[in-house]
Amino acid sequence: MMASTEELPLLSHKVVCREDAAHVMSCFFSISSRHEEEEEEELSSASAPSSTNNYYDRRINMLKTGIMHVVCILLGYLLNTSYNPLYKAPSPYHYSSQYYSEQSSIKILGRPKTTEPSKESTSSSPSYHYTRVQTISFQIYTGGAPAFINSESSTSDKKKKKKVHQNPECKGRESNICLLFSQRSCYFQLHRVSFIFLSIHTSTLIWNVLG
Amino acid sequence: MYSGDTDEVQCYLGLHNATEDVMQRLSIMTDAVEKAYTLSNKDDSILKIFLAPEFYFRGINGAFEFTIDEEEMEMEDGRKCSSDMCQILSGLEQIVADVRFENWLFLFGTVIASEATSRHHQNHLHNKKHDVYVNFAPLYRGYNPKTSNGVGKSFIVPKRYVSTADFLTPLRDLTNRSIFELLDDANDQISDPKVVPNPFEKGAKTKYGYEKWIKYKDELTSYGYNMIEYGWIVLDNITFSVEICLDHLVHRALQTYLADVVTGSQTLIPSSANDTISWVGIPKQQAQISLVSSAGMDVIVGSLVLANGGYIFLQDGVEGNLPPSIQYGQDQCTPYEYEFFGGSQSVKRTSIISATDVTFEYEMNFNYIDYNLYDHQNYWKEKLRGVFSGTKYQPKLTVYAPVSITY
Repeated sequence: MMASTEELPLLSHKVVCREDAAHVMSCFFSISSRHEEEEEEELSSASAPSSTNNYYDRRINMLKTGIMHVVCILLGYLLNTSYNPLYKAPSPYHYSSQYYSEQSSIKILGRPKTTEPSKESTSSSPSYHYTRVQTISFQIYTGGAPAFINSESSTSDKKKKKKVHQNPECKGRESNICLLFSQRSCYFQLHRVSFIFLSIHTSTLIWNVLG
Repeated sequence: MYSGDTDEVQCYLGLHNATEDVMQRLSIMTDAVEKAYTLSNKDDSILKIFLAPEFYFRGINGAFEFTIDEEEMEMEDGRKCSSDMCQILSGLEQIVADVRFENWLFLFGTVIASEATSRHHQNHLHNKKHDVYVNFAPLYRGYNPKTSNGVGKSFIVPKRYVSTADFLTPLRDLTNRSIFELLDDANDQISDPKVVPNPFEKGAKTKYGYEKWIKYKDELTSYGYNMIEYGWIVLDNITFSVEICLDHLVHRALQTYLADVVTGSQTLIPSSANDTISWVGIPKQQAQISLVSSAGMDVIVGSLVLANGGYIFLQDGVEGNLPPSIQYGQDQCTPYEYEFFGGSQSVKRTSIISATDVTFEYEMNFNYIDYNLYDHQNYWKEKLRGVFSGTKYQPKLTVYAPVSITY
């Protein structure tokens, strides 16, 4: 839990209080017991003739004791709430993966067999080895090969005609030639046709098989 | 004659021999990593992040297969692999186990895989049934195998939601005009049983085979992999969110964060540092770095889970070559929002709280340089032949200038 300590001066005594709740409570009882001892001493001395000053000193000490009790209670409360900058809120990093794998409907998947997953991450602050990132993207066409490709005839310089040829990459693979249209696709057997005429008018696809 | 958008008709690419296919894809990935290392800043205080697009590992049939009865193949590290997926992961592990990559994080795109379970049928062509689909991103921390035990270096990021674009859907017959007709995988007219049907079209399944996927977890964790189920991970005290394409659009990381808050902050995510792994709560300040591996996705403002001053990086595999751009208020549906475009995107979000207003500011990161992966002209087409299309754009590396991490 908390490791830091602080000293609380109390009358002539010094009581070391740790910050967690349990130790604050022990601090409280320690303070209380010490004051009870003082009060007993004072009471025993009170049996002797006492002066007015002693009476006021005893009242002041009792008042101080009461104040310190309140301070300790408040301190105990504050140290266990988010008001305390040293307070560590429950972090998802500290959840036990084993616990959630058994208790939660959210399953933990793909746990490696080669190493036992740690039940808690380290509480020390993470080290940041990398300060920058350099990304290198690999551009390569990974879609299907077009079954037909355009080519421009060079019969006339002024008027170039576009011709469509079967893509040699798809030759011999007619059985898996496919059509992509409007997020739909299909394939057909190319050897059944010689020519294909495809026209698209609005959202209607019309097939004309020639030859 | 054919008119229309030629991109509408596509075929899967890949080699018929799955092992050769995997090796070729790994070879290209290795080339990219090596070039990235050459271009990277060597300062040890800078974490390097290598980010590849979705669908990098897909295969000729639309998905690599899990099969139980496949012949075992001994890998270089001595591990016996009985599936395509094992070969992929084993190959990637060898890339990252290198002293040069101690300060690197790798998100190697995604792996599409389907478990082919045997199904008794008179027609032997239909003796397999694909009913488990997974799309996941292998994520690794680089490490020195001589000094590190490798614990907490390997992760799996499963994609949660199926996109309509994740798979191509076979149609029974070209003459069938109803191209939206759902596929019945029991139909004998399907010509190639090896091509996986689109799970999205199978009864509008919108999530990957999550329940069965969980069963694979034990096998993967036995190899030292850790699941990033919620899209969140802490690496060396840096909080990351990692999403795959559609998961970003549907706010997976953000939903996790919000759900965690309202349920009492009990969700635990993996945290890796110093060769150990622990389980921690999702940090309240959100992610310092967000990563998205996608194919047809942009950075979505409403999905961001960035800490103040945090960055998101997205790499797309469809329009990967588009230069990044930003616009504000152009979409009538979202008149007061930013929109981001481009193949490689990086955005910084800053929060501003004044006496009268609370806003987020977005800054697109244009501080980068593109490099061709292969210097020799047209060599890239040779290198990619058979596994990636050479009709689109040549592979490049987008190297960003280092950015600060805000702790």
